Amino acid sequence: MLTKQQIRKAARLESQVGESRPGFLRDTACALEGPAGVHRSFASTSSNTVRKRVKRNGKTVKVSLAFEQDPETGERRTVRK
Amino acid sequence: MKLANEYSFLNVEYCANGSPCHSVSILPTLKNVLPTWAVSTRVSPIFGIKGLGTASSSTLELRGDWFLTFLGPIHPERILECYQKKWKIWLTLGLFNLLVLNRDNEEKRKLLTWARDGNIECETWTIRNGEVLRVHVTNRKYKKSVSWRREVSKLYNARLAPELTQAVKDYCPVIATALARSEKLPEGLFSDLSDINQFIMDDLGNHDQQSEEGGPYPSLGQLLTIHAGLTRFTSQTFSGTSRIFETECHLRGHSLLGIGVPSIALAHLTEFIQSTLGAARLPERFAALGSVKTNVPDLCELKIREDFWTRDHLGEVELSDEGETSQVPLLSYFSARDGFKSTLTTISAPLSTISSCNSLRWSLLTITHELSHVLIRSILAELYPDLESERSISASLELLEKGTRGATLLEEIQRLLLITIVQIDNVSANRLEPLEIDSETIVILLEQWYREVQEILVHVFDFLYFYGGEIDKYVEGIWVSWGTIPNIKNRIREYVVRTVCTALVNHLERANAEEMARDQVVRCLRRLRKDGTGGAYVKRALKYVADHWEDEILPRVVARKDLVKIVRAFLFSATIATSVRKETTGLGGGEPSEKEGYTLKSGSLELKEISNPFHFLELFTKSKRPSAVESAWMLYVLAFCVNYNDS
Repeated sequence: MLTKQQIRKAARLESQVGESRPGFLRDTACALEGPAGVHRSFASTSSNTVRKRVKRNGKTVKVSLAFEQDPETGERRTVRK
Repeated sequence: MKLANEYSFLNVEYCANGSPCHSVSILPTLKNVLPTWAVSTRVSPIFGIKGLGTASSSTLELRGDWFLTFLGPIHPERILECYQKKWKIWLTLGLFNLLVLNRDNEEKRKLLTWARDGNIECETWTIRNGEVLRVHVTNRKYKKSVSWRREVSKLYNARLAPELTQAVKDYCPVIATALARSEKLPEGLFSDLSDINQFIMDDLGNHDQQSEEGGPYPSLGQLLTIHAGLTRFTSQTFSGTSRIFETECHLRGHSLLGIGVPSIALAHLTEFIQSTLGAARLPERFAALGSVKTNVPDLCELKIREDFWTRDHLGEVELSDEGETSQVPLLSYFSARDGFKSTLTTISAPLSTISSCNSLRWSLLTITHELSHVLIRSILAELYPDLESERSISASLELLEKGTRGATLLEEIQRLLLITIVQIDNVSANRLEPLEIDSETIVILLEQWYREVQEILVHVFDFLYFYGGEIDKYVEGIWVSWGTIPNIKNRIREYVVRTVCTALVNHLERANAEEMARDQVVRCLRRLRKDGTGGAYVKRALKYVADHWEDEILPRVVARKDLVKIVRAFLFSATIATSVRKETTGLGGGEPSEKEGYTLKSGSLELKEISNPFHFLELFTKSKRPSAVESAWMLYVLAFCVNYNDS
C-alpha cells in the first residue's frame, strides 16, 4: 500500500516516537511537569506543579495559547496570545 | 445455488487398527468426536447446499464404496456444469472449496475430466467402508517460475549482519513455501507475495546495515513483522491443499482443509483499497503540498468559513511518474490474538470474523480503520520532524515562534499541528500559563501525543472515505466493535472524545459545532443502548457525556479541532473518495448508484460480480447474532465475486 521509501520513512518515525504500551504513561503533562512518574488521570483537575523535569536545552520558545469563540460565527478555536 | 442452514464436519484420522489408512466420516457436530479425539484427528466444517443432497446435517459413515473429490478454488456454481443427480456437494472454507461425494466410477471420471478441462486442481479419495484406500491428485497446469527460487536462494546465502543472518534463514523457507503453493493458484496471491519478497530483498540488500543508524535492527524489525504475518498466512491459506493428509492447518477447527476462502476474501478487501486509495498515492500528494508556496494563508488564523478549507487540495496536486511509484502490498492474515491490527506491511483481522462476520460486532468493515492507519502513518512521517535531527527540531521550534509562518502549505500544516499538540497537552495538564518549549520539550510533546494525533486523524479519515460521512453508521460500527474487546472501560473517555471529534467534521462551519456533534453522537449511542447492541461501554459513554461534557470533553474536543480540520482540508479529496465509495456493477445487472443495494440474496451464490467489496459489506453486515453459515456466504462472495478491475 506504501512505497518502499514511505515504509522506511514511517518506520523511522515510529522507532523515534516509540509505541505506546498499555499501562505506561501516555500523559505528557507528567513528563513535562513533575512530580515525575505520577500519573495525571484524564479527569484530573490539579495542575499547580510547575517543576520542570526536563533539562532546558538551547533555544526556548514561549507558547501561550487560549480558546476563543468567534463572536460572529460562534466558531471555537485555539488562538495565540 | 443456496446454502443450507446447517453445516457439518468432515473428520479424518488414522485408522484405529494401526494400518497406515485414514478413516473418514461426516458428522453433524464435533460433540461425538471430542471424547475420542486422537493424535491424528483433523476436522473442518463443510457447508451443505439446498437441492444438492446436503441440506440437512447428519452422520455419514460412508459404508460401502465412495469417491470423495476435493476441488478448487472455484466459484461453487461452476460445479453445476457437470453436476449429476445423486451427487452430494458441500462447500468448505479451504482452497479446495468444493467437496463432491459420489459412488459411480464413471461419474467420478466425468467429474475429473471436467476439472482437468477447466484446469481445476482436485484430489480424489477412493473410500471403502469409511477408509481411504487411494488418493489421486489432478494437478492444475501452471508455469513454474525459476526466478523467485533463484532470488530466495541468493537471499539465503547473502552476507548480512549476524542478527539478520538467522532471521533470513528462518524467513526463506516460509516465503519459498508461500510462493511455491501460491504459484499454482489462478491469480493474485502469487504476485503480491512476490512483491513482498522483493521488498524484503531490497530492504536487506540496498544499504549497508552496519553503517546505518540503528544498525541492522530496523531491517530486522521489518523482516520479523513480515515473517510473523507470512507464517500465519501460509499455514491458514495453504493447509488442506494437495496432498491433504500432508498439509495440516494449526487452527484445530480447520485443521483438515485450512481457511483459504476467508484468506482470499480478506486479501480482496485489502487489494480493493490498494487499487483505489493506494493508487491515488495520498502520501505523495500530501508531500507535494510542500511545493505550494503561493497564496498560503495563516492556517492558525484562517476562519473555518473561508473557501480555502473546502478546496480539494489533494485532488489539485499533479503527480509525476518520476521516482518510486510501485507499492508494497499489505500482507493480510487472521489472528485471534492480534484482532484488527495493522503495521506498515501487514494487516490482520480477528479469527472470530470467519464464523461471525455477518454480525455487526464482528464486521469486516472495521478493517477500514486499520487500512487508514497505514496511510496516516505515512502522512505523519511527512508532518512530523525528524526527532533525531537537530536541524529538523530547530526548524519546528522556529515554526512555533510567534509571528512565524510556514514557507509552504505543508509547513503551515506542520505549524498548525505543532500548536494543536501544545494545546492538547495544555488541556490535559489543565495548564493556563504559557509553556516554554525547547528542543527537548518539543520532542517529548511529539512523542507523547503521536498515538493520539494518529487516532484522531485515522477516525476522521476513515469516517470520510469509507463511511461517506454517515455518522449513524460510523458510531454504530465503532462502538459495537469496541463492545467485543474486554477490559477497555478505562479507554471510554478517549473513545468518547474521538467519536465527538469525528462527528465534528460534519459541523465545522456551524456555531456550537461541538454541541451539534455531541448531540448526534449521543443520539446514536442512545439508539444502540435501546437496541441492546452496544454493550456496557455504551452506557458508560453516555454517562460520561452527561457528567463531564463541560469540564472534560468540550475542552479536549476543541483542542483537537484543528486535527479534524487538517483531515477534511488536506487529507480528504472528494474526487478520490468517489472511487472508494462508488459501485459500478450491479449484481442484478444494470448500473445501481452508490446508494442502491444489490439484488443479491443472503445465502445465494450466483456467478455475478461486485466491484466494491466494502459496499457489499455495508449492505449485508446487518445481523445482531453471528452465524457461521451467513458468514461463510459473505466470505464466498468476497472471495469469488469481487472484480474491481473492471470498475
